[in-house]
Amino acid sequence: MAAVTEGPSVALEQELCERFERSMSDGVNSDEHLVWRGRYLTADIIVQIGSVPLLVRIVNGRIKECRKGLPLLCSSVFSVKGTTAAWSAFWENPPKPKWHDIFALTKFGHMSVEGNVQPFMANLQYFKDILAMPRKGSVK
Amino acid sequence: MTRMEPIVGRYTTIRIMNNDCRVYFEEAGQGIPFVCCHTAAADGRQFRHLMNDEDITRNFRVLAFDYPWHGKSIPPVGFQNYEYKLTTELYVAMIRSFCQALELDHPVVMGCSIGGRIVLELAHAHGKEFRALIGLESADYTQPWVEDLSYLHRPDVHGGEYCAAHCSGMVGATSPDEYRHETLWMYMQSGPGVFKGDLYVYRVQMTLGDIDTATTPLYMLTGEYDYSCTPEDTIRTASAIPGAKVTIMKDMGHFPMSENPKRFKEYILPVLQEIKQRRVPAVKTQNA
Repeated sequence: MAAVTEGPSVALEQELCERFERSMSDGVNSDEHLVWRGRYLTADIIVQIGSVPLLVRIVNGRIKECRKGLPLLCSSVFSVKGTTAAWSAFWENPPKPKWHDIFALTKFGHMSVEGNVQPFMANLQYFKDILAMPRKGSVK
Repeated sequence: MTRMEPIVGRYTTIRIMNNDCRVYFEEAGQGIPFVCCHTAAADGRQFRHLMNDEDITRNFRVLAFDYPWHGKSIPPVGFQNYEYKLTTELYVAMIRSFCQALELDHPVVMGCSIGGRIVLELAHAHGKEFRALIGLESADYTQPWVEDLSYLHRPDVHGGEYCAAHCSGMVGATSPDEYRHETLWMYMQSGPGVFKGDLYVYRVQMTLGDIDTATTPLYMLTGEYDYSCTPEDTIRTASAIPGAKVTIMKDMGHFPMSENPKRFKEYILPVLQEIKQRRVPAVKTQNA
């Protein structure tokens, strides 16, 4: 289980969250082929960056909403949680060995995927790609 | 006329653990027989770059066979009545039967991933039959990164797409996109349950027996981006095998021969040159 409360820098956490939000709204939805690959997926998921949870609402592969903080009594299918260090290293270009893939990060204890993981597994490359989207550098 | 590659593909039927198996294999080159064993859920196409490289085929007869259940080889009669599981015994029999059926004299065997695992067993139990053994992404045990393997074979997850995504992160981060996706494409094509069945052999903690590297040299090469068989796994394993030679391959992931053939050549060519210079021990091969 990743230690999600450690936070060496609030500023870094904030920056990573903003980077992720921009990637979801601009990066994913402007990639028509990626949206097409997720066409059978509709789900609300939580992505936690350090101490900050973000709610990501996906409808037919398109990002409907990505917002910091969770509404009260919010439900979600699954969550992907990682430390700021993990997300920061994961989004380096190129990332270093052992920090370059969600499965590597979970194996070595820097991230966790919790909840009903069936939709995650059924759309695995789609999720790997949207979670890695901030790495591209196209969205600053 | 279009340029033809030097690779030739053929079929043969070989006896593997009391089953007749129609096996497809490809080969190119001449000289020392060099049998290449593919990863789980893949097939011999992973070695096409070696077979197209004159620097290798000048001195080595490179052969890659699709294991039964894989590629263009078909499973034995009656396969539909049981769940496929690749055991150590079956895997060893596949390789030895293939080598004997083709009457290969002291071949070099190179295997990747599960193939890297099985060369350790070949080294222990049948080492004298081989001129040298090469394990790519090779270790006696690796910690799983997905504990629940059911996702590899269940009706509510597309097997082909999942199998590719399951290991997409094991390709080195800087490997060329063209070869990254070619490698993953092969993973989309295995039959239902084949990947899961192949990993049976990978989940077993192997007991390393005596390995005589003085008679049969053992080389172990692992990519730094491999989080399945990590460099640490290979180094730990090799530390228990006197004489084993380890190379950690920079920038490389779990599929060196197919994901980044140009870089892989820099690592494998010196190994093959060293093997070529050794004398073959005169030991008779026993039947598989």
